[in-house]
Amino acid sequence: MKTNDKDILATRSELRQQPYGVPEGYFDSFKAEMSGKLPQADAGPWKKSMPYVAAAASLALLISAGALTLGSFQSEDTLSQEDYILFSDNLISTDIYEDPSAYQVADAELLDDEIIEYLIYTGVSPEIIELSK
Amino acid sequence: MTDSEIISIYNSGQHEKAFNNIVDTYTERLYWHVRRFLCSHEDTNDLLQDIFIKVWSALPTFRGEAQLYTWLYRIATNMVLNHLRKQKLRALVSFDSAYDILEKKIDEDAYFNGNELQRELHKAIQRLPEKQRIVFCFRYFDEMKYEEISEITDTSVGALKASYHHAYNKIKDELRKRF
Repeated sequence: MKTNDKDILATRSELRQQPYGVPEGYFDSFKAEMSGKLPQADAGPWKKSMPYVAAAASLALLISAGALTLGSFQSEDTLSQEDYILFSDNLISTDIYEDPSAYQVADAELLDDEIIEYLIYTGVSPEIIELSK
Repeated sequence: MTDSEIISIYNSGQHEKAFNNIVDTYTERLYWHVRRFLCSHEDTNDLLQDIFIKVWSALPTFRGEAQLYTWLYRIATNMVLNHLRKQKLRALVSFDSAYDILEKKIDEDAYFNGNELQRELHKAIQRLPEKQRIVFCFRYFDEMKYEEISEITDTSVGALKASYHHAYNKIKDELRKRF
């Protein structure tokens, strides 16, 4: 039934009521869970220094990885130039392309999130993108 | 518990107790505020947890210039808007429509207890531009004063009144066509 001349937002009182529901006992369990999720505010000296320790460990790992990579390059350098030429002759030219679809799938999976993160980072609003479509 | 009681508990150094009181007092109010925008219970639950974690980390910066509840709604509203922007960008990137996603969430919501008119109202709200959607929800459902909405959204009372007027008429016309 159409109520053409009436202001439906003012006359139908149920519209101001909440039509959504929640699982039984949701709010009580939410409150209980929430207090367990708090990051500790009064962290001791060890906890406070954790980020620095983690950063130092990452740096040490990076240096080790760099040294190892450099070492492997150096070991390749011990091959003579003649060996390189011989080795490259044995390569099948199609080998380098292996399975291009594998790379495409990986790209497609990353692409959307990368674009979204970039757009959020640059502050472009969805409305501007919509207008440019 | 009142806002001033919570603040005095916090100022006495009982930070965790003050936070738990905020959670106790505001969980339901903030939940319904967020749910009107996100539509799905699961999304609301996830974002509400993030909101309270943000509140916990930002509490030391609360200076009491604004009322506690205004400050909480401001954090919640900003986080809702960020979530919706991400959702909209994700939809644009995948050539989908953010509105279709929200409409689907309303239709498939197992916890939706309203009638058809209420369903159409909430779908129509999702079609409103961001600012109109916010002011409409605050005014129509929570009956919040323009001055309070102005504090939360950092928008002038005049602009809010105009936005509400447009939103109200749009929704009214849309519902009139169908009911």
